[in-house]
Amino acid sequence: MKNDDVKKEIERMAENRKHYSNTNNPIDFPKIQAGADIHAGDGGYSIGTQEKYEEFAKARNKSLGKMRIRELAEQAGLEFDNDLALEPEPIYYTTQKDLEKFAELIVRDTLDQVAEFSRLTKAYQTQGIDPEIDVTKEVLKNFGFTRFPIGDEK
Amino acid sequence: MTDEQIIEMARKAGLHGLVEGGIINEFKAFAELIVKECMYVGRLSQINNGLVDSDIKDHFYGVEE
Repeated sequence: MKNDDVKKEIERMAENRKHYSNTNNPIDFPKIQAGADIHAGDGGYSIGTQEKYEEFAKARNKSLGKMRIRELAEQAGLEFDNDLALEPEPIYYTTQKDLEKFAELIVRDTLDQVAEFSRLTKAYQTQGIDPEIDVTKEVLKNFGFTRFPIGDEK
Repeated sequence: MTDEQIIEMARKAGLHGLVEGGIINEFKAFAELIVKECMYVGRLSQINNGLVDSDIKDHFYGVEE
């Protein structure tokens, strides 16, 4: 290689280096850009906002039980808007907290009854008698509930 | 549960105006679903030799903020 050729080659390499040093230009690195799309998922990367983060954190922290309480309330025909107000709005308002308190009282009442029937069953069993008490049926009968099928009978 | 029992329970929970709102049947249905869910969870707990009382409570209030 002659000296002139070497100089030209060095100049060409320098020119190329300058060209590829602009990494923000997708035309320079089409394959890398395509790869970035694939690895970033469907939506690609994006800068989050504080509002979006708070919304995510709120949903994450929400108790599964609380969500279930709301589901049951909706199943019972209680409708909510975003603020958990009952509809139709002009008639009556409540908060999810009040509704949870109501649910808690019902659960507590149920547990008391279960404990009472279980105690009764054990008392019979210690005397060698099988009382054949179906606690579930007895509790439901006590409450007078018959409208909805219980979970495993669906 | 009678209407009176539901109203009493709702009053204790701070849900005033139930009768005025005319939604007592919905609350009764809601209560029924909760009780049946309790019994269902209790049965599962029993099958798995769990602590029925704790399992039912955990089911509704287990994961607090």
